[in-house]
Amino acid sequence: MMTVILASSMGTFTSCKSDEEELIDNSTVEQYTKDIVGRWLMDGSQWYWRFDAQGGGSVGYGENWDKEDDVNEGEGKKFEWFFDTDEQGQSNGLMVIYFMEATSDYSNPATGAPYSIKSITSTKMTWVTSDGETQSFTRQ
Amino acid sequence: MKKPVKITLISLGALLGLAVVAIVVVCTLVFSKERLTGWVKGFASEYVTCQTDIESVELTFFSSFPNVALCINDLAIINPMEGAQSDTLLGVHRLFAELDVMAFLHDGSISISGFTLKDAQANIYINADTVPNYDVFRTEPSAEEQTDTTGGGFSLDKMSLHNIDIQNLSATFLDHAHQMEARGRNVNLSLDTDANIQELTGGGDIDLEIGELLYSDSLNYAQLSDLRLKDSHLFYDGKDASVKMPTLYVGAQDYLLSGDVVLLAKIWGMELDGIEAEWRDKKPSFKGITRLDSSFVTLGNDDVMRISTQAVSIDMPLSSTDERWTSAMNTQVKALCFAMDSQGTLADNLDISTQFEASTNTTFNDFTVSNMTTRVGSQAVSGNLHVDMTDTTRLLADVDVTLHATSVGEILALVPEAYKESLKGMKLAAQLSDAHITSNLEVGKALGLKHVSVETQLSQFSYADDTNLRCDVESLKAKVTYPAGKQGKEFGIDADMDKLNVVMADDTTNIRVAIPGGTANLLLRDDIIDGKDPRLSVKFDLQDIDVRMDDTVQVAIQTPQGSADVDMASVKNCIKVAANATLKGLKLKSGSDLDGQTGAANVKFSCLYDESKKDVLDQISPVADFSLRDGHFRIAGLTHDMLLPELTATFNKDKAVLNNCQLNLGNSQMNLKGTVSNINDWLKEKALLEGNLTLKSPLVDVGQLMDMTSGIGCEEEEAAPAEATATNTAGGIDHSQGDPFLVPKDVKFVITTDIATAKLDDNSFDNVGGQLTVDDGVLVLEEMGFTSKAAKMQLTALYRSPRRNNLFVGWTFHLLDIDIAEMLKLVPEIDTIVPMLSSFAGKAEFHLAGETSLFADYTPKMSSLQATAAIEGKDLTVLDSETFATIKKYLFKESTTNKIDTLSVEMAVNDKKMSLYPMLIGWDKYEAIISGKHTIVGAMPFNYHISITKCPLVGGHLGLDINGNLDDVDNISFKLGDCKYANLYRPEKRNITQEQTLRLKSLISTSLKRTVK
Repeated sequence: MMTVILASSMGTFTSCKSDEEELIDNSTVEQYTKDIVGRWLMDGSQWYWRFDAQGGGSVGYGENWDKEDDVNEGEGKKFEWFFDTDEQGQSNGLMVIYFMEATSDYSNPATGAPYSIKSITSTKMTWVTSDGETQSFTRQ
Repeated sequence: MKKPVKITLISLGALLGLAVVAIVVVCTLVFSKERLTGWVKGFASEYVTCQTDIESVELTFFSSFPNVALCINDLAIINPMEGAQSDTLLGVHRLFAELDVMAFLHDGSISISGFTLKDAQANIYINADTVPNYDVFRTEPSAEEQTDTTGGGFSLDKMSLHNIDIQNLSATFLDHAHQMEARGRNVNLSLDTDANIQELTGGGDIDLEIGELLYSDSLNYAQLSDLRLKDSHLFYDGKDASVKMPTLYVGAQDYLLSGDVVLLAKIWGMELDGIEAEWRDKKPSFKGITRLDSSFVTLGNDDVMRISTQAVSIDMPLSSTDERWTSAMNTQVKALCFAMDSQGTLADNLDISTQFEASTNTTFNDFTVSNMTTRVGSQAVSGNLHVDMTDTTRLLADVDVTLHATSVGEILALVPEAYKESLKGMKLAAQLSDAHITSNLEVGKALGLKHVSVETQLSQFSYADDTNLRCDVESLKAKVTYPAGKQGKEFGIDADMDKLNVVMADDTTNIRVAIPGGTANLLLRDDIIDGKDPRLSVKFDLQDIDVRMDDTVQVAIQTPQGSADVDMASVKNCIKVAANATLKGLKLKSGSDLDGQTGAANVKFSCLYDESKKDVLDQISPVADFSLRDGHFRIAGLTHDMLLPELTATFNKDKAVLNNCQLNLGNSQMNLKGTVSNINDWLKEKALLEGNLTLKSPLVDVGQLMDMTSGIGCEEEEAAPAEATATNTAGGIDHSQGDPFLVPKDVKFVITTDIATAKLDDNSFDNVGGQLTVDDGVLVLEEMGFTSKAAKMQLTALYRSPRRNNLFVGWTFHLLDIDIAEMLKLVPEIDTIVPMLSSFAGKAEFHLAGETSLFADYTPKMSSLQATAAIEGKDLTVLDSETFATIKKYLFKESTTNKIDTLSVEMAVNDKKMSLYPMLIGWDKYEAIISGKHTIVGAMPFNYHISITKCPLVGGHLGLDINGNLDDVDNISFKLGDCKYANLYRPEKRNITQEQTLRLKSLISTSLKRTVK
């Protein structure tokens, strides 16, 4: 339920493009949506990210875990991911939404983090966080 | 030989031969067959009232030399009676009557010195009117005949019998009046006597053989074959009598004694030696030796009893009055063997001797045995016995017996082989004092006990078996009485015991139970003797019971008192147990793990054990109520003692109800009530153990409890080969990082709290209400509401412990109407995440949600930490600080007040960074938007930006970038720059990223506030 609400609220919006923004078009979004699926390891760390295919909808699921903190796959943070697009189909990048569990009903508190993807190849991926930090990953 | 002598002898022989020839000639001429036959027939008609047929009569000399015998051939006495077995009363093929020739020659009288009967048949009959068929003899001749009788003639008065010889007699006896019938065949009797018939005195030697003898009446039946009595002697002088039987052999015998007491007996071969019976001075005596060879006795049911002995010796002098016979008996039985088909051998080669005084009435249905002393093997029994069979439908017996002091081992030596198998592996030893038994028995259709009293004392009793069980009792007094109980249908057993010790030990476990002493009173339903399963009740009053297991666990049960009922009869295949017990106290000690004691405790327990059920858990249906007071326990790992001022609870196989449980732990005082259900299915691993409890408390010290419970559940984790555990430990559990609380699995508990005050560190929360849920490895604090002097609060928290070093905690926490300083004091971690918050003073509303994995020592795993927070405040004051002074220096006038109209902060933590979403602050004539990020690990570098969107000084927009490390606040860099958020609140000019930022900010705020209840 939350995914639907969030996708509808986050998914399509009107905006102005500023000069400093690097946007990607719809075809690139579609390409990234396919290419990002898989298990990735952040370079120089034990921090794994796994992006599962979106299936039939516009939202995919995933998980990240840091083995340096003794967290294994299956024990990490679960998230939903999608590419945040405006009415023109333009996107500034990947949106990852986390829902937290500690509620008595479905009103899970949520937080999100945007990532501006710079490139995805068969083996490497690079994105820039919202505070400008570039992070590189190697496909596992 | 000299010639004169020779001549003399020849002459005498010639004279004797001449005399014999003369007698023969005389007998032949004078006593011719025809004359004798007629004479005897006349005699018969004189003395016999019925028809008598005689074929012929003759005299014989040679067969009865030196007497003359009268030989009657084919004698028949015929007396028909209706209902009789035959018309013939007596039929004799040949009858010899020896005549005393000398008496005849002397005075002409006829004297019969002996009788011989060959091949005789007698049929004796008594009709229903008690008229016999043998009442056909006259002792005096008829008047008519008397007138004809002259001179000597025949006279019974002069008759003197010296010899009676009966060969091959068959006889029948039928008594319709008494419903008796008897029959004998092949009877041979030889009697040499000097009896005087007129005086009924004399004696004689008897040889008797009976081929077969049958007897029956309405109740009894007896059959005897092959009775042989040799060289016996009878004597009677009119005053005293004696019978001596050197040997009496009785072959096969069948007996049926019926009525309500049915006894079938068949004995093959009974030999009696040296039997002597005397009747002297009206006092009879009897002694003799009897041997039973190959004997069989069958009881009324289908069971068969077998008895044999080498010898039965009986010395039985008798005396009598008109009413009773008495005797001081001395009997000895050698090598008694006794067996029953259903039980096997019950006695084997047993020697029994007994002396007693016995008496019976003249109808033999009332017996008394007194001053009895009996020895069975090495055991001695003394006592008295009275048997009353005057009522033919039942037998009454009074028994008063003392079993003299002996050892249990000697008694066990008497245990029949058939039962020794069940004692295999057991070792029993004890001294048994005199056991006094008094009893009234009634044997009728069923065995009935009127009264029983058994009193005895065991000392130095020990029992051991091959199941590693050993039991020792120093002394046990026991008294069994019957009847007992309210309805008088029970056996009462009173036991008084000293120093009972029970040990159960094997290679791995050693359990010792010691009871210094106590009493027990049992009531056992008497239908157990009818073969029914036992029903018993017991009251016990014991001294302190000390239980020790492996020298590590010690349990002291102080003065248990109570009662218990065990019923194995009411429900088929079931045992019902009900018990009540009270204790003055209970002490528990388990090594260094547990040390505690309680005050008075009460237990009410019942249980139905159904052995027909397959599953062990289905077989047992326990129900219990228990309560205890003043419990005080010291538990390893708990820094404070656990106190149980009061505990009352009930449980059955499916549900436990905690009626009242007051539990004090450290500073916390808790009262628990509620139910725990699904116990049976949980034990079968079919369902979760479910609990629904309420926790009411004036004070709960949360911090103290968390410290105390740290590590609980880790033992289970060590025992379970969990896959997850193996992922982070190569060889066993690593305790170095801490022992966290591991939430139990397979249980679902809901605890509704009503806590007046909860303390956490230095903070105090009031009216803490909500639900604590433990659900299959997950602990949830659900919508826990509480207040403190700082704020109204609401907390929902979740804790999982999938493995020791990867715990999980999540929470939503709402502080409503809170003072910021109190908030920071309450949750100091907020200052780390939002350091600027400490710069404000005033009331605010704080919403926080987060979750993280934790290491075993509860340290958060920062890579997994994610949180959102929203703070809203109005009319806040910005506190003077060096940082704010610097900001002011760059952006504001010195005269600007520190008052902030509104504050709306949204923050998020993920990816090891805290993001402060752009927040609008308006105060005085200024308006600014602040945002930024700082890393929450390492040196915690940060970069913040302040956009001044409203400033009377510059009339336009200003920007200030603030950079540095939180752990080095002395070197923070301030730098004027672009106004980053000049258009943030101008929708038509916002770019995609700003739009996205505001939507995330909104998402955080709305999703958080939505969880406020």
